[in-house]
Amino acid sequence: MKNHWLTALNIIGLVVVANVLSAFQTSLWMQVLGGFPPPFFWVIVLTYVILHRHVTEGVFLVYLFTLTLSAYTSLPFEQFLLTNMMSLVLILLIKNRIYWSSPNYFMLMVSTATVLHFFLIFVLSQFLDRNPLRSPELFSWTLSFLMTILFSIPIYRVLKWWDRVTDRDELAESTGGLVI
Amino acid sequence: MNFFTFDVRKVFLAIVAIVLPLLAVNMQRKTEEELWFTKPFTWTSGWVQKGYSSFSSGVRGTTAMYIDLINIKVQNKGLQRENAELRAQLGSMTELKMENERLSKLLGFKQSSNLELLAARVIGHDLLPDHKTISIDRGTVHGIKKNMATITTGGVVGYIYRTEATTSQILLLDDRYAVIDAIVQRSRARGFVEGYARDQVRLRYLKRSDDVQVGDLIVTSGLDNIFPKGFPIGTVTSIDKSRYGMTQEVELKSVVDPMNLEEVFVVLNTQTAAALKESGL
Repeated sequence: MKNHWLTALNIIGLVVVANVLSAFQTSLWMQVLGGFPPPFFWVIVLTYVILHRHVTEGVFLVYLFTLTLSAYTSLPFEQFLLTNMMSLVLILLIKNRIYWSSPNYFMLMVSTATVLHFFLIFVLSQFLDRNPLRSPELFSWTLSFLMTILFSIPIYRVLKWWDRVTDRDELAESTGGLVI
Repeated sequence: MNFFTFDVRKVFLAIVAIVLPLLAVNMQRKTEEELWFTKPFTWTSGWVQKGYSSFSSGVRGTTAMYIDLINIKVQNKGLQRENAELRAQLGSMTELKMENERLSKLLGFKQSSNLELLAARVIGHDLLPDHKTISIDRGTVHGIKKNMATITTGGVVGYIYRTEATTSQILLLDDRYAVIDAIVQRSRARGFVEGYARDQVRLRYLKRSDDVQVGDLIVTSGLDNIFPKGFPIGTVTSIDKSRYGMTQEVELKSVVDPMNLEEVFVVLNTQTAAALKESGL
């Protein structure tokens, strides 16, 4: 029988990692490196749970992450939730068609998720904001995109290690996708 | 296949994943309203950011001292040990001296203004690059409330939009969600300053006939009961007067670069000051 305590511990660990990394991105990074664009650590953790969890658990975790991470931004909670949920659906659609379990695939999906977030935030802003985003911080997004890819593998290793410690099973290739 | 046979689990998942967020977005809510269920997470994030900030200050202090010691060792190889120690101390004091000068300037400003100001240190930025907010190490226990103005010696920084016990978040004046009541200092024409695009702010809803020129200083009007009257916001860089519109839009360069601030002042008594001014006291 699967140990539910370990599952709970795994989820708590993932939320803590997402928060600690986001606080690092918003606080310590700017104090050490000033205005140099930071990596989007939260996108890495978010992509990990979308790819490595069953769709039901993935949706639950994305809700949980949005709830905790909205404390770090002025983007309204509802808009942030919609952005993350749309990313989840699109990433699962890609996963449904192309999937292989390797760090390279993860890196590829993290880069896709970063671009998707940028695109979704921009597009949703046009429809939902009274004062929409006109000229996004392209340079900052590009550098952050590159930094995110650079940091994706080390964080992937840490999250994989955490899954092993908390006895999480590797998701089979055929499961966890969005069956339409 | 029967059209009416469907998987209830999948329908439920679709509702949770897409329908709920869409409904949430469509629900009417003022942007400044904070959701009760996000409060514990805001509180936690403030503490984590504060922890990082303290850690960073400690590390920076230690690193600066270490670097200074190496430099002194290279430069004063032949000098006596006592002399080297004195030089090391001198080097490590440079950062303190600069900080002291900066804080003295802030203190002088605080003493010269009639406002009740609370100094705060910047401890964090926003998670997303297109949103301009900063976190400070002061909160409700220090007397900070929502919608209080934040300024620096140069001018307007923004206003408080989220508070916690020991931390707060400031919506910077160049954020798209920030709106500040403002006037042209020279002609007293009134409009609203809003964040527009990358590092740009605009003075909007200025009447077409209002007198405004490139180089004019835009200051706070004091009418919003958030900012004290007459604080500089920015200078006019260009004017866009469309052919048929009723208003003109003015582009500004803000006097303060809010993203490079280390310390700010929170104005604790704007509303009291405005009320006193109106009653003639």
